[in-house]
Amino acid sequence: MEEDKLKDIFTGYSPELSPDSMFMSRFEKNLHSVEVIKQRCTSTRNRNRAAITIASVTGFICGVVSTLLYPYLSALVKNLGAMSFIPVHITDAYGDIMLWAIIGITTCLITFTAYDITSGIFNHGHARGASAS
Amino acid sequence: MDRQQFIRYVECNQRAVRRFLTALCCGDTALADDLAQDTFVKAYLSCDSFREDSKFLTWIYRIAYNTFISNRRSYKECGQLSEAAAVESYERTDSSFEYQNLYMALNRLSDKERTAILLFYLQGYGVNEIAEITESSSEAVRQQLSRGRQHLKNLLN
Repeated sequence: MEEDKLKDIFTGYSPELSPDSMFMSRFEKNLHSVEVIKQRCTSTRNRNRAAITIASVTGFICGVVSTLLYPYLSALVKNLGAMSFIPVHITDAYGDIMLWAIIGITTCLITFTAYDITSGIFNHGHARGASAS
Repeated sequence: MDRQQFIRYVECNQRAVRRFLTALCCGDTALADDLAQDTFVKAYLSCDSFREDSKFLTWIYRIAYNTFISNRRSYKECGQLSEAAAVESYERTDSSFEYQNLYMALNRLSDKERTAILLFYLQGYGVNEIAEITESSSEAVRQQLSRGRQHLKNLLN
């Protein structure tokens, strides 16, 4: 078969396709769905960013407060040792480490709780807004 | 490029892309339309990163080709369900069987040979443009075209 015949076959190739209007209508619906999803992803991302910011600020404030209260907390631990609630040799050797560990764990818990509460409030507000519309 | 501009581009070019995909899918117009929809949606999602208006069609055909290849891969992984064979389809195929021989011949070519042949003869692209669309070298495209032509000639004769 000559190359010209191959060219002729493809030049004359005109398959039966569905109507253009049907294709374009379906395409515009798909585009609309894509845009709705993009909008939702953006608003979810913004809500998460706000929740992380609030949690970070909460964690920072906890850290600052802990640092300011550290001398008093340290004295409290030493007093607990003196009153025999905690063995004295433990408070003398590990008092500071224990205190920083407690401060660290407390700060993490408060930060995580702040994130959880904030994202819950934002998501609840968004869900109410979505159902109202 | 904004949404309305993109829709106008699609309106002007969708028929050619669907024709190409129909041949690539060997006459399965339903699948070709699905792939065309996926192609244009993917193109819309990444149209912000597209800058050169003169190569817009080349870019679209590249997405169409990659969409076709991804579909082929996922079809191979899923395999065929015997229940699906019993499902009636109301989508139109090429009911006149006008191009039956052509589709059967195209089906015997490899994906790359079929793509090279269709882009060359159907869309009028040159070797370098086909290489850009299929992300192959020009030499590889020449070989695919040469082999594809030979196979088609043997099959259609």
